[in-house]
Amino acid sequence: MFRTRKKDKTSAENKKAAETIQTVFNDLSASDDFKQSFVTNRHVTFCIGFYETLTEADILHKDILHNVQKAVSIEELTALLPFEDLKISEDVTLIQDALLQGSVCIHNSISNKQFCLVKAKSAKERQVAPPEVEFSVVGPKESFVESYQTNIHLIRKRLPISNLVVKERTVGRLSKTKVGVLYIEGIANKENYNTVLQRIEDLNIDQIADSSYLTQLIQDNQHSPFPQFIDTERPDRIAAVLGEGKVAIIVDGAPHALIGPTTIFEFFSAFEDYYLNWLVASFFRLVRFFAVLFSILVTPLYVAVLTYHYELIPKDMVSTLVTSRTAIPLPPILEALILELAIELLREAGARLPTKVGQTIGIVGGIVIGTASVEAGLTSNVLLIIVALAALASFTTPVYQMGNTIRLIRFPFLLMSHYIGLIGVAISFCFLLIHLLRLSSLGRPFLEPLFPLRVFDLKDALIRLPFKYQSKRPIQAQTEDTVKFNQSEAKHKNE
Amino acid sequence: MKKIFQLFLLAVIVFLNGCMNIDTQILDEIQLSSATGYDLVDEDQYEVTVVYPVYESGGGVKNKTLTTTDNLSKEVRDKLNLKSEKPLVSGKLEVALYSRELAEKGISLILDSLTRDPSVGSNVMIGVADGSTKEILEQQYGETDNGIFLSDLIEQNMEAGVIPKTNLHLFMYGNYAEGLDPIAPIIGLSEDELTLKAIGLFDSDRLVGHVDEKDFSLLRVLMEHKSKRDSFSLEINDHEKVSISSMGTTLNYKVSNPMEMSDITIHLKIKAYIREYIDGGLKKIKKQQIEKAFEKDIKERGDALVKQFQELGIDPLGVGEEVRTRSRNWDVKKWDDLYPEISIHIVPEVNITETGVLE
Repeated sequence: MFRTRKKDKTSAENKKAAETIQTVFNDLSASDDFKQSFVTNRHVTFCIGFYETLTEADILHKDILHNVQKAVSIEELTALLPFEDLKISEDVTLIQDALLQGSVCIHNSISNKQFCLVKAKSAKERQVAPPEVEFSVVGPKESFVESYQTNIHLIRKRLPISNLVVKERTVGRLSKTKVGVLYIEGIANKENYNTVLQRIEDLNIDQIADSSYLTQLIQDNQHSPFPQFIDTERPDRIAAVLGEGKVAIIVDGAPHALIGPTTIFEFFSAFEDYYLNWLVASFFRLVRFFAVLFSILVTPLYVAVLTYHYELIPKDMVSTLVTSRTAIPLPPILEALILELAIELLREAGARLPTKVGQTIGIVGGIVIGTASVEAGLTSNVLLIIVALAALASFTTPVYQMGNTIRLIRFPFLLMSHYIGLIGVAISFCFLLIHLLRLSSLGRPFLEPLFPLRVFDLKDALIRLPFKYQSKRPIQAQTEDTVKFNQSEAKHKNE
Repeated sequence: MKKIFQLFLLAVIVFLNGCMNIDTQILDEIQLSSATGYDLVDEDQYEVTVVYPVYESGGGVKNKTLTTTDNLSKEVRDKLNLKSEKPLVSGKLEVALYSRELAEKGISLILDSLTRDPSVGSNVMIGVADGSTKEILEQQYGETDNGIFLSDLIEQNMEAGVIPKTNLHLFMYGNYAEGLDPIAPIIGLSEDELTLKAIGLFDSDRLVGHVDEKDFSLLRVLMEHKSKRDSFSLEINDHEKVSISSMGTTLNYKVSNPMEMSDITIHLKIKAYIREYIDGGLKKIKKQQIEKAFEKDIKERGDALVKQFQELGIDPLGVGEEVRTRSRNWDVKKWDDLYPEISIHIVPEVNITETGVLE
């Protein structure tokens, strides 16, 4: 990024060096929403230039124009204007950039030397609303919005400490997106945030539309189906992981923030887990892990057993399976693929359609297509139940991106199970395991704490132990300060 | 380099699957035989009957049988396939029945086809048919598959503590072990109802005798080192009838001089509760008296049973195994000579801990 920026600057400087502000204004006037107006008072004429679509008319009328009419010179004007970050500059590029960020440029048309830049950006943004993707019944109901300022405000109000550092970088030659890297100085490992910063700085791209662009661009293995940064819309989750010594990334215009380094187990922990009793939360977490395995393995196992290993079917289940399959002309693999595709179609159609229509699609698809295909003898009702349950299980993953991955990796398993049966399932599982073992998030092992085995980090992986046992920060983040609080004092209660 | 290696590995998996020799056997495109029966036609001609279920769309099951004769049972399968619209497979075999005449001649040759086939599990039930196996297998028992019906019949009685544990694995173990002989239940039709009639005693693979229903549970507690839910009943005198059920039995062998002509004592401890007590009006249960009576009865019957085994020269209790584990100089031939002559005592100890709720 730095490279790009420098290149931009040098070329721009060369070009614009000779230009006067008037020619810049004239250039910008090619766009119809750029306005120039001249205000003449008793002493002097001021020229005011701004983008009508970027500035707040209220500020312009009440504060700027009102004062401009009284001032004699730029110096006097700066004293009169009630703004904290007024800039006086002669740099043409800076002026142009500021105008595009919503500033108002005022200059004395006679002296033609100094320009006053006043920030008058119009704040058109969505209200902070309850989270939709990571909804929780208990706990705060705030979620990030598209505004960088608001998002950092939501985090800062949860962590009112001076150690919380925000490093800003700009990414994108066209979009000039502001990206903030957040960490707590003294807790977070330098290596972690420097890696993030360096990767962001090295980016050479035109546009960043969302934080998910950034995930795909800066994660360790870009070809892996597994995301290596958690994206979350919950400011409370960001505040919590910052406290654990991790690094958060906020992208301007993105309602999701990123967290790294992370482990695969973190993707299956909903933040609501911390708001529930630890027993309940641990149970829910285990259910989620079971759901993932179930979702990946159950259809391939069905296909493998029915195609190759009839011996494995319990004797009392044979009749159920045979009866449900007698009228079906397709081999188990086609039967399974048809149903899996149907479910994916339903999901995709539901996701593309507006919410209200989407709901009806679910009902129509689920009930009508399901029962009709069984009655028509295209699929067996046992498989219908299995596939529907597997699809349901894949939706339990709290992080949306990971849920998609789970749905995708089922298909290679399915094909291998048809190809060589249970050996195929085993081989696919080995491949998956090897891939996960090789993955890393910001250079930290992705399968931690299972591999490398760090018993201490198991306190918050498959299960969530009570808070008093969570007194140390995860080893995975390699924090500078490992202790969160004193465990013995945390246990102490004054009656 | 690494990439090339990965691609090579993938190619190996993809292209070598032809060498894995995996045949597809789609569940509804095969005929799952659930029980087989072997009858003797003449010297070495067997008649083989195979039962397979045909599932009807309404949920019912119809049993179909195929019969053929030959002298080796795998060739028989080829012959049977000539009569079947789908390939017959043996992976879901539940029961193998052998007619009494065949069992008396020895069944190890036919069993070979079951033990050598990897798709046949080791918990297949082995049974001896009192009469023709074809006749038994051709019947329709209730709404279920005949194989499952037969195996449930045997399994249920094994679990309820009526007969000793038996299956293909235990049968083969008894067959090969030096100081142990196998058993198998004898099943027969009486008035169109299938009944467990007796327990067949084998000398290696030949049926040589049987134990009747009254000694089933005694045989069971003597064969298994720990068992539960075995029931004994006794008529103490004209107006007193007691039935007890064990909560746990333990068996202890005392072999003072292994491989010598010295006494072997089998201590049998039975912890039991009274299941039924018809006392002709008496209210008080004479526990000690009942315990003594049972001990006497079990000793008498047990000694008689052991005598019978010794006379037949068979060892279903595994006394030889017990001796073998205690001796350094084990010699089968010497033991086989010793066994019929050695004196084996059974010392039962009945302990009634509960008398039931009605008191």
